[in-house]
Amino acid sequence: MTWPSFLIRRLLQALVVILLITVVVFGLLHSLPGGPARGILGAQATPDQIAAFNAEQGLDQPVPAQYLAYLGDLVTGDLGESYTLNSSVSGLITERLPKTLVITAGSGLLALLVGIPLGMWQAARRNRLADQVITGVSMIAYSTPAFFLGLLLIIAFSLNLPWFPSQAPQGASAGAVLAEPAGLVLPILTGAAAMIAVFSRYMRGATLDNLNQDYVRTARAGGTGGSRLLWGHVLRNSLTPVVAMAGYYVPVAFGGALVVEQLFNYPGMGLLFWSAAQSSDFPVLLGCILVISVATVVGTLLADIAQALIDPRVKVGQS
Amino acid sequence: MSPAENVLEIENLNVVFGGEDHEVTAVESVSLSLRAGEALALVGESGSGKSTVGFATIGLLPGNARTTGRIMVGGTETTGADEKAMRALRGNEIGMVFQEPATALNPLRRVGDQIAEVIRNHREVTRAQARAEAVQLLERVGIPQPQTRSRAFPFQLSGGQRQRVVIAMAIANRPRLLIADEPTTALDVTVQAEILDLLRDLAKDSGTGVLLITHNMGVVADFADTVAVMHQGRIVETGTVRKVLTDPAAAYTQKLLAAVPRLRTEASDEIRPSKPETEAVLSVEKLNVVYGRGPGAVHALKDVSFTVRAGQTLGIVGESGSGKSTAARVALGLIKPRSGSVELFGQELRAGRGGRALRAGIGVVLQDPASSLDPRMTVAQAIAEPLHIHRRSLSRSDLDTAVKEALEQVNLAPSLASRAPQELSGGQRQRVSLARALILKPRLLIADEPTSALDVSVQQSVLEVVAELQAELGFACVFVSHDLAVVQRVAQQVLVMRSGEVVETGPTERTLLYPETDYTRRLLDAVPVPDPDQQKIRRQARLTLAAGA
Repeated sequence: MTWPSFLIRRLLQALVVILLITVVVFGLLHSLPGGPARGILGAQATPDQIAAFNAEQGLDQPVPAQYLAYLGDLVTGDLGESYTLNSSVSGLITERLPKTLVITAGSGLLALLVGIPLGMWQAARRNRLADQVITGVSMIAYSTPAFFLGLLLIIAFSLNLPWFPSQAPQGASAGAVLAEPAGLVLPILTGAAAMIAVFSRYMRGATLDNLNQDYVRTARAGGTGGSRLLWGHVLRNSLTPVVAMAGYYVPVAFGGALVVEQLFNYPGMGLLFWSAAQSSDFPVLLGCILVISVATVVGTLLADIAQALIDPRVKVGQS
Repeated sequence: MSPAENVLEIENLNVVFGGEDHEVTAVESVSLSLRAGEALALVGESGSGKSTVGFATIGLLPGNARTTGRIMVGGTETTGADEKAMRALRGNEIGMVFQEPATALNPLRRVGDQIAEVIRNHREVTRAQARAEAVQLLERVGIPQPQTRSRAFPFQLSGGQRQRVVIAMAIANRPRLLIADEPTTALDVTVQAEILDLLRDLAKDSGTGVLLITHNMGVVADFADTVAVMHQGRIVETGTVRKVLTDPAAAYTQKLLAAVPRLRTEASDEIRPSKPETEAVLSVEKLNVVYGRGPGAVHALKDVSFTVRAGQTLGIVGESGSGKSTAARVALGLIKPRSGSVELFGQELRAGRGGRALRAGIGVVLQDPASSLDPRMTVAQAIAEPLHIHRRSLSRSDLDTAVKEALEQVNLAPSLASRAPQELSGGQRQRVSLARALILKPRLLIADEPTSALDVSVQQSVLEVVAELQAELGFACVFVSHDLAVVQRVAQQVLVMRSGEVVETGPTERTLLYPETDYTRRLLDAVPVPDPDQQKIRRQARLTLAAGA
């Protein structure tokens, strides 16, 4: 399979999944308790008012027609109105999403940049002291809840050692946030810790697996050894499982953002989702779910493309 | 260096593998020498320590191995050398070719780059020079279109081509010593013959000494000048190839050679009584199996027809990818043919309940005894499993008796019943598979390469058990194998397949002695026989035939 046909095929698959997601989200919107009318007009609305609202909003139309209308709105970026924040859902998301992406992408990138070399380094020194110490620290990092780890980091690096602010940057846009990098350190670290632990564990395992493969023996029999063996042969072969997993970590990272944003008072998607859930602001909730679902699909798509770049067999389906 | 100088000298080598609480001596007091330009074959069965000697020589033993004694390669001592010193030797003074070409190359790097790396490990040349040299090496090992193929990834090459690439890596820096560890075991006989020809030419051109590690006596006869026979870590006999193969002194060598199935090239004097025509147990008619659709579709079977009769064995032979296993699987109902019919015990085989009842009359033995038994089931559970499925009414004690009888049938002690498969040897495991296959008293046994993972002596005992039981129980047998000598021994009828088609079929006695097609003839000619003089004549004949074609 050539690159264009591979990409087109994967994109089409992703589109189908996204379409299915819209069906689910639409179904959820549709089954809101009392319907959207009750949500917007409040519990005191009379049946007449509700009927009038439904007629006005097209909610008396047959369900398939409503779905098509919903889809049409989606395409034009209309996700409906928030019940509580007096703003459009898409407006809220365009304001908050970039800021959350700063944290999640930052954590993800940091986790990959640290976790991958760390795992390989450990594998090359398996069962020696350094490996065992890092394994222990990884286990702790993985099993410590993010809110607790974040608190510890604040106490250590903000209160005891005044290196970083305990509050994330409050700028209104991603650009403004990025202008204060010191404030991002603790939130990104908090978000990345567990992922670093997971990625390095995976990478360590994959590297150890590969070190026992026949091709490593062949390379060694040709006089290749040391770092050239590790970086030139083993790295690329060990990356595939880690990259695949990184794709699945997109929703996990968004889940982590919920905690991190709460802890560092950072108004992103996580806080938006949290407050919407507390005030039963369903359009906002479902808008967030849609965005996170689409981000997950895009994440796995990117992971697939990265895998095809690493391993030529992926494209021909022969891996 | 004079040609008579020894490129490899091993003195009193001992290798011990240390486990958690026990040690295993893999190699004991082994001494060998190999002269430049010659080939020394190290033969023995699995576990004899022959590969360990090879890995000790190139310094690639696992970390828990302890070595004593002396290994000299071209005058340099390698025992006790540190990793850096060994790295300078590997791929430079010593090259190595491995058994499994499918996994020997890095799947994610282009083959040309992998060869170039070995060159650059030892010589100060630019990347471009090394790549150009890699292309020349690919040409030298007989890869067509070397320029294009050097850009290929391993998965884009056939098994034989991959092995050629590994050989190119091993000879890239003109080593004095080439270690070839079962270099042709995973390849078809025709490809095996080509690879051995290639290794022979390369060694002759460069004066490289070859240490050939193999279990195949035919390969030894074809390739080696001298032979060392290993048994349980020790060398039991050393000598010239003619002496060892035709007039072995050690009892072990005699036993080993007696167990090697030999391809008969002349009709035997004894005339087998022609058996009366028995009923057809399995007959397939114009089977077609196609994988995929459109232009990329693979025709795995094309109009394949054959019949197997009660008490008889049909051997299906052919190279890998010829469709011989697919044919067996269709008969089992595991693969649904696109067209054609399968008649089992006089009834059409269909999917569903009826098919399941019919299939209860088939026993199956597969190639790899290690992976075809569930490691979490005891031997008794594995053997009894078909009874649980097809004879649900049996009582506990009936089951136990049945299992005990089945074990006795295949010459296994009843005390093995409670063991786990991984506690058994390969031959024992394969006999357990056989007991499981026969417990329902099948009318048809399908055996797919049942002995190719076994040592020859073990193979012999398994084949004997099958023959005895067939005479006793009268089942029909489909015997799929790449080993023509084995098929010649067990089968009355043979089916030769190539690319999903039946090339020829007939009584084994006729087809494998007087083949009607070039393909069968080439297959037969490529089989090395364990007699150096005879094999030399066969090789000449094959090369002449190839040159003429």
